Amino acid sequence: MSDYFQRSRAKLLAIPVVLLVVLACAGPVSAATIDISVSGDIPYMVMTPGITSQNTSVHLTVTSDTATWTVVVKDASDDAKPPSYAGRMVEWDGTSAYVASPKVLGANMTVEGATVSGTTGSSATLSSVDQKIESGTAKVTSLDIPLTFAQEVAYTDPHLTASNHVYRIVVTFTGAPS
Amino acid sequence: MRAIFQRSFTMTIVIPVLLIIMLVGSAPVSAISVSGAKYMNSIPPGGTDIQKMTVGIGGGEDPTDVMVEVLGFGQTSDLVYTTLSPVNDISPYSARKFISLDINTLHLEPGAKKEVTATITLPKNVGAGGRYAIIYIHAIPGKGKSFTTAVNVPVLVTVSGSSPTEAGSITRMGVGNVTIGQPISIITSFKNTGNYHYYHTANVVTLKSANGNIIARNSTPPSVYAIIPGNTVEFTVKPEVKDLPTGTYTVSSKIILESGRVLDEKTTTFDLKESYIPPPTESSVTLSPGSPGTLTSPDGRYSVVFPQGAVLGDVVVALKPYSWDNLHPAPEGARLGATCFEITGLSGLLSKNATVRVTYSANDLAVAGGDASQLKLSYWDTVQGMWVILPTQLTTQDMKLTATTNHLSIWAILISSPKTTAPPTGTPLPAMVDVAALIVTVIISGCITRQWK
Repeated sequence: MSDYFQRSRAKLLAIPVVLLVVLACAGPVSAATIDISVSGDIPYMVMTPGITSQNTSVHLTVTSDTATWTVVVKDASDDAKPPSYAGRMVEWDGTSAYVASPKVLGANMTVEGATVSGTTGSSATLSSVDQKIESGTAKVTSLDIPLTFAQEVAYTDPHLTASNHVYRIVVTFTGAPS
Repeated sequence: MRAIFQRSFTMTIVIPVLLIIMLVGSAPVSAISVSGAKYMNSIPPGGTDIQKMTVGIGGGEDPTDVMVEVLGFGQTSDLVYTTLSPVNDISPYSARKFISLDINTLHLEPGAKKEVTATITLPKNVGAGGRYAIIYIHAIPGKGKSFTTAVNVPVLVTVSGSSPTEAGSITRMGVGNVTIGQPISIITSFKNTGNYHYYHTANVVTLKSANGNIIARNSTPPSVYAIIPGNTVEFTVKPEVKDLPTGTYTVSSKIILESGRVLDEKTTTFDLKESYIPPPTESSVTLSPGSPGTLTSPDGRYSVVFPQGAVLGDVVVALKPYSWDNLHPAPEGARLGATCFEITGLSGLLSKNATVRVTYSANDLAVAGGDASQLKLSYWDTVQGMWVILPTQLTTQDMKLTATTNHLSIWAILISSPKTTAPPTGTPLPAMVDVAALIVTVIISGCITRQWK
């Protein structure tokens, strides 16, 4: 696919996604321990107009010694991303910054946490506001939770033309306590 | 079928685009652990307390820089705690300014742990009730890393010796859109108007007919989150009702504490201009290769007829209600109708086409502007991530839509004008063929143009 794009001069839109995961413990206690990890890779997400591409290679792992905990997700507009584009992938210069007057994908990215024993998952359309994707219902140890990232691409989405520019988003996962 | 149209349209008119989005992620694992990740205790006015937090990362990770900040204590409408930046932390019950940290940044080597100490000092004139903040501990994303992790530490301080006030007010209450086949939602917005948080709050909703008979009484489970003073949260109750005739109904909603004390109660009415039918209850059928089978919802609105040989082994297939709110957006040029449901139990495709038959509702017809010919049965292709609009037979006499398919998943009625639907014969191309066709088109176009915007 890369070779094809080099030949056709179509722009490969490399989109480094930094997932900022925030977690906190739950329960009316004065001390608690929480451990969260994210594993897996998203090497490529092939996207075609009119289709919602999905990736399920990333997993969230949670250890919590309190019985109720929640993971929420948002786009915190890190790295000086224009807040008005929260939830959407924005043109990045490939090295250090979002570009001025950037091109932006039209649809917001969605993140879905799976339902597994000990937690109930749900889907969230990324925005600047925290939205729940996991509701923990039990104390858990190394609970593995598959995540699904989805991005809809439309025919009207802009094609990047500058060399090395990519679409990028920083996703923040927040574990909400109770 | 819309997909087929789009494919054809793309080949001839539109400059197609294939976006490859590469999520750069060289580091496969990122983790953080925090002990002492919650503070909830009492401090007298003028008093001080300490919260020690131990922060670590996994042994297999890259060295990580971690930032620690004290932020305001916010709350989303679904009660989840969230941080507030200092500029947005205007609550009189904020503890943010009362908390100092011994360190704001720390560097962690793989497998290492370090301690962060928060000192909480209440002024002598702090007032009564509770004070709240969140200590935000987050790893700074490393260059080229895909993931980073962090921890929120909620801080809930009770001003000891003061009299906490547990109070609240229902600020808004309403009935969501009443749609045939979807649950009725009673939404209650509630604000903590006291000076102290409370856990295990529940919303009890009672639905009555015009003559005062109780039709349903349901409640949310007690919340596992505290409601923080100054925050407004939202409760949603879906009363368990059967068919409702047209008429006026009364809804009362009250917020109660674990003790049973009612914090507030409000009542409203709504009119049903069309008879209401609740979502179907789940039904199932066991299919065998040697026999045909029929899956029918208890209310008869939905049915799937499987011919003999549709499955290769015994399988239980179920028909379930599906929340309209969870549907994927309609494709360009189409709109979601009101009816949706889910068929589960098959991990792959049917060997022979099944016949899906659905009764459309007045709500579907309303979305279509009264033109039933625009109503199309559609399923969500989870592999392709797209709606597939099927050739649909319409019989207006009994308000039925019929289509054949070998693909069972999430189904909905979509409103699609005739010009964007596929020819009336045949079934959609297999998914892989769809993709291949589109990619080939892109390759050609990519070679001949670079002007696409």
